[in-house]
Amino acid sequence: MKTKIFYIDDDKVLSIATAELLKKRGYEVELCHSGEEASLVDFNTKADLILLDIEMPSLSGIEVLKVIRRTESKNLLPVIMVSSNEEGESIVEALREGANDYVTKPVNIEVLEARIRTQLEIKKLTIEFASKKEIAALNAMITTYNHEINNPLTIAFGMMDKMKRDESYSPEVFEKMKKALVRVKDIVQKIRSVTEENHISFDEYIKDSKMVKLDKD
Amino acid sequence: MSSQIFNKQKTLDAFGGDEEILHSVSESFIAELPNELSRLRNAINEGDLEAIRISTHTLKGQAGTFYAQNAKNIASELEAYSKDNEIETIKDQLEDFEKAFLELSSEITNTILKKG
Repeated sequence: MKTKIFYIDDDKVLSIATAELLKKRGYEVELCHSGEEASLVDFNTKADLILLDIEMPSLSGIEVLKVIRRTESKNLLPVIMVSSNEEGESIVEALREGANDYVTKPVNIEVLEARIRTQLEIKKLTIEFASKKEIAALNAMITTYNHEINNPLTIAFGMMDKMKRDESYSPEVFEKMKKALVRVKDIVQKIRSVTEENHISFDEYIKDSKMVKLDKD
Repeated sequence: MSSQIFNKQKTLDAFGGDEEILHSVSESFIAELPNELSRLRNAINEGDLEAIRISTHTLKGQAGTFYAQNAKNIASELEAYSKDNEIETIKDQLEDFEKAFLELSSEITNTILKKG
């Protein structure tokens, strides 16, 4: 599947040329020549990466960037600003507002493509890392389930065996057995409440341990 | 190849050596230039500083694409004057500005498009 790039630049001559060069290198490129039009686009499905000119009439690249960052995170939708050399302050502002990188005009296609590849690689690694964290959290959940439930169940079974061996009913032993089973019930309830929240948050529940904290602080 | 007006080799390098794109960009620039200069003249006549700023910024970028330092510098100056509300200075500089861009257009035509 081709990488989709959305390029926003009011300079038609340069942007059309750059788009053609990127298409020749295997990218799918959609062009937009106005900041106002760009601010109305739903980028969620439209683009894997955005190229955004800083200086545009009416709605600047910085303003468009702010609109983009209201809904699209820096990690999942990289934005590379396109800037002329004199716009140092604007570049700093863009980076503060969530731009991932920038290139200066006149745009060198080799440099641009290298930066696009870098941002896409970072995005891919970020997604992989997040998914690994979730898997680690689930594994910790299973470990906890095994440990926390196994102990009281062992006690309960032990008590049942004792009563069977002694062939007598002991209210004391029965109470201990009941306590152990109530403990199991509580733990199952806590695990249910943890899994019913949006995601198992690695940092919130694990904190460098292989097991999940069932009681949040 | 380099001339004092623009640098063909650097432009070609920026396009990854793609002569086809260089040719296409050159044709676009030359086709659009009369319209852009006309827009600038109208903006100056109307005293529309924002329109002047937009036009000079666009032409500055296009001059930069061709590594045309002289045309780029003049466009940069006019852009700065427009931000400083110096309409009279802009009027004084307009002839030099147009001359620089017409020279650039002519050189591109002779060098890249090989006409004339």
